[in-house]
Amino acid sequence: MAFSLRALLIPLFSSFLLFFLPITLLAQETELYEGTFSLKGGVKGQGLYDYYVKDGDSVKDGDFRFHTSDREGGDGGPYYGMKLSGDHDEGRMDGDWEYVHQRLLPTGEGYIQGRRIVHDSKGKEYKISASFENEKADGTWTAIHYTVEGSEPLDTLFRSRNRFDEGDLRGPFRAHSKRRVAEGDFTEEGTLKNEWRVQHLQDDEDTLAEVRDYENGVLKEHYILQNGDTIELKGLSWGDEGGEREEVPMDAKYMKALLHSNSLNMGQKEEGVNPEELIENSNRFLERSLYAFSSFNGQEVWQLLEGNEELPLPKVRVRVFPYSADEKEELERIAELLERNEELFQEHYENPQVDVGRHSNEEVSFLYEVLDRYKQGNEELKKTHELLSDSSFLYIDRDAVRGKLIPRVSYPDSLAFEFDGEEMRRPYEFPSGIPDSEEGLDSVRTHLKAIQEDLERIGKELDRILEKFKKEDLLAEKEGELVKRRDSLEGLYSEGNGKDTLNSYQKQLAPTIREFYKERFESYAELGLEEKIERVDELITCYGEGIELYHGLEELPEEVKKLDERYTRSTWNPIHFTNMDERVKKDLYEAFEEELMPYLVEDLKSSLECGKIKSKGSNFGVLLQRMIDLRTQETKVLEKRIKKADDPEEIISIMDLGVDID
Amino acid sequence: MLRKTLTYALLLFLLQSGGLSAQERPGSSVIEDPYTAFWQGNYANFRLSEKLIWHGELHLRSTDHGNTPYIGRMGKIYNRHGLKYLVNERFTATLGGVLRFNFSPDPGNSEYRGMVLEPRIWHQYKFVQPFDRLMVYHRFRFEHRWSRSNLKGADWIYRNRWRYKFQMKYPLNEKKLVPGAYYLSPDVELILQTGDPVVDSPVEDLRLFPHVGYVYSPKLSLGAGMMYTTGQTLDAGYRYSSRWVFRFNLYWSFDMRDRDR
Repeated sequence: MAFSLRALLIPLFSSFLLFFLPITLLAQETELYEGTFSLKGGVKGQGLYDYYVKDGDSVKDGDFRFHTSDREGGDGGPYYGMKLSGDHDEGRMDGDWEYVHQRLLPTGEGYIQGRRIVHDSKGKEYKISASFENEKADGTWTAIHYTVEGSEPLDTLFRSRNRFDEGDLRGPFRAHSKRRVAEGDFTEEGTLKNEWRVQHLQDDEDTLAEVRDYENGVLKEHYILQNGDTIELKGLSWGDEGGEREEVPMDAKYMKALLHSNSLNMGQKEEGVNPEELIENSNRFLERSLYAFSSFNGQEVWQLLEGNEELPLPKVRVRVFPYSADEKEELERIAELLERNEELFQEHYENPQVDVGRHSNEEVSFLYEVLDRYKQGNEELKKTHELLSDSSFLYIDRDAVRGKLIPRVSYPDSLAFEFDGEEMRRPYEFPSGIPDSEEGLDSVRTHLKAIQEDLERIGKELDRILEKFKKEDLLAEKEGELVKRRDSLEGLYSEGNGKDTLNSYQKQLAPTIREFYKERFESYAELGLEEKIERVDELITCYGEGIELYHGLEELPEEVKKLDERYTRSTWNPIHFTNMDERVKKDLYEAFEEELMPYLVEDLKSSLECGKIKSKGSNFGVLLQRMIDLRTQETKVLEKRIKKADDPEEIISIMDLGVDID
Repeated sequence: MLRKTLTYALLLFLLQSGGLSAQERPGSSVIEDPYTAFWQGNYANFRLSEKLIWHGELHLRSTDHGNTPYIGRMGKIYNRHGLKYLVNERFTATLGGVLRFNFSPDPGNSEYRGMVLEPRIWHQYKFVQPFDRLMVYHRFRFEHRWSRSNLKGADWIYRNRWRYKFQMKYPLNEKKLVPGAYYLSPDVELILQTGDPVVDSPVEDLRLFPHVGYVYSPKLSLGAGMMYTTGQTLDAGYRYSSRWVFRFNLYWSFDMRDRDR
């Protein structure tokens, strides 16, 4: 029988259908999204991804691409771009992923590509090559930062490489930059093991490295290798002593604790190397290297996509020293005292008036020096508090280190200060400081309290002095006004020097008034500052009264003349056939002219007193007005009584004059 | 009006002077020896209303007697009153009466009555010419008098008097006649008389009275001076009397209106 293709095809085709049909029936239908897309944190760009809808939600499945770009600072500014790409499997990151961040500037002449105008670029690019399995970091990851020139990578600035296994670090870990190289390893549990070495590249041929030797996360040895020499580092309370240890992440807190514990135990520093600085640099590099896979420039990378968790950090094992309730309370109280003292410093030490005043007032200058002394002490105690309150000290036996942290505070019996170009010294009763023997936080608290009390006392003293300055300034201003008024008054009540002559009333009063004010001014000049401040306003007002009196008297002759005219009647005389002026209400007017006016002048002269001059001056007005009123009234009876009166006071009573007389 | 009066007076004068006394007439006039007198005159004006003023005068006149000049004996007491009408500030007209007490020329002499009355009716018209400083007054006074001698048994005679006085007042220390002003006042009065008894003596009196005055206040002025008078005697026109009279006058001016004082 001949081979029959048809016979082969049928079962073949049937098998195909039998095999693939269920699969095709089971597989979801995906759609493609292309358009604007926002990552978490509001990062907007363009997205392109496959997805399907399940229970009303879109589930990414398949290829995912996101990109965004922006230009900073308008024309001439750099372009920033970010790309994120990888695969999803039923909503979970899976497979290879890549994150790229670019900062590029266009270079050269542009050229047309398709319908685009394209430039070459230069700048920097950062790339994370990652892989996930079921959304967990898995596989070898690299993070690399390099320069770009002519649109091509040029120079590697930094690179970090590590292996993950189901979300845990596995090592070997290696990172390098231009100046440093770090290497280390992890246990199966993700804790540090063996030597973690950070090599700090030198310009010359010297070698310098910091080595941290771990055993199952516990730091066993810590030393510096410098040109082959070993410098042991023994962090305070950090040794390989026993004790229960906890597993904690190797985060910034841990790094800081390592640094602090060594700083506290530093003796004399070796020439040429600064272990603190070295540890700090190593810490920074390690942090950068370990975080390199999950963030760039402070921005989380993988958490931009929903549902992703942070990448794990390596783990270490340390002793943990929780803060007791008493310790917390003490630290809180110290914090409050420090804050209050800060406020007092701001109020008084940083007060511009104090700063100015210390150049012109010895007391202020001295107190400023005292404040400065306190400020220094307060700053030290503030650092102590900041350290002891720092979360990194959770890993340090604070009872063991407190003695080293708490500064010894002592004060001199006297304080030197400079004033007016001279070096001076004055005794001052400072509070007792913090002696060597004190290691408890209560000593810090007690001392801060003593500082606070003295600051408050000093503050009040400064306020008093500054208030006095203000008063003195104000007094100077007011005395300027006082002198101005004095000169004005003296000028008004003097004759000659081209000045118009005083009228008769002013002439009568001028000598008395001049003498009166002269005495007042001289008395004032002899007063102390406080009394002057109290009295200056009164004296200024008094001078004002004298000036006002002058002007009132200036008008008086005219007013009297007008009254004279009111009390004058022109009558035709039949004897001489002429019009003659005759006085009406003769007795009344004579009483006014010959008794009352002179009496008021004398009364004013004999009873000059600040506060009463105005009232005395207004007596003339009162009298004139009364005379004006009486002109149109029937006064026969009044005049008869006036004629019989014995003295001006009786006339005043008869006329019912409301004048102020003594 | 004034012209008619003057013309009448002149005519009357000419008519009266036509008949001369039958007595012997000397060849020249005879001037009698002057006698002296002292006149204290009080002139008062009481203003009653805007237009009416009561004019009152009281004169005390003494004369020489025996060896006592000026004030040897009481001569006359003059009472003159009238109602003055203020036409305007430059012209007034007055009408009133006079009662003069004439005392015996020779007290103690029984041939004479101690005092005789002399009533008159008088009216006058006075106007003023004011200059910048000087004031000129013209006074026309007419009197109708009934008089008799102090001799016992003397008859009443009736005469008319025609008087014109020209006066000036010149303030010395002020520019106007105001209180406080001293003034110089030339004062000349011619008194003519007519009537049946007036035969040849129409010129009763020519009075020359320069004096000084002082305006004390609108209510009171004073004046003093020596007056010389001469005039024809009634019984003989050729005989002229003359006298020197020291005069001291007080001029009062009161406003009696009930007004704003």
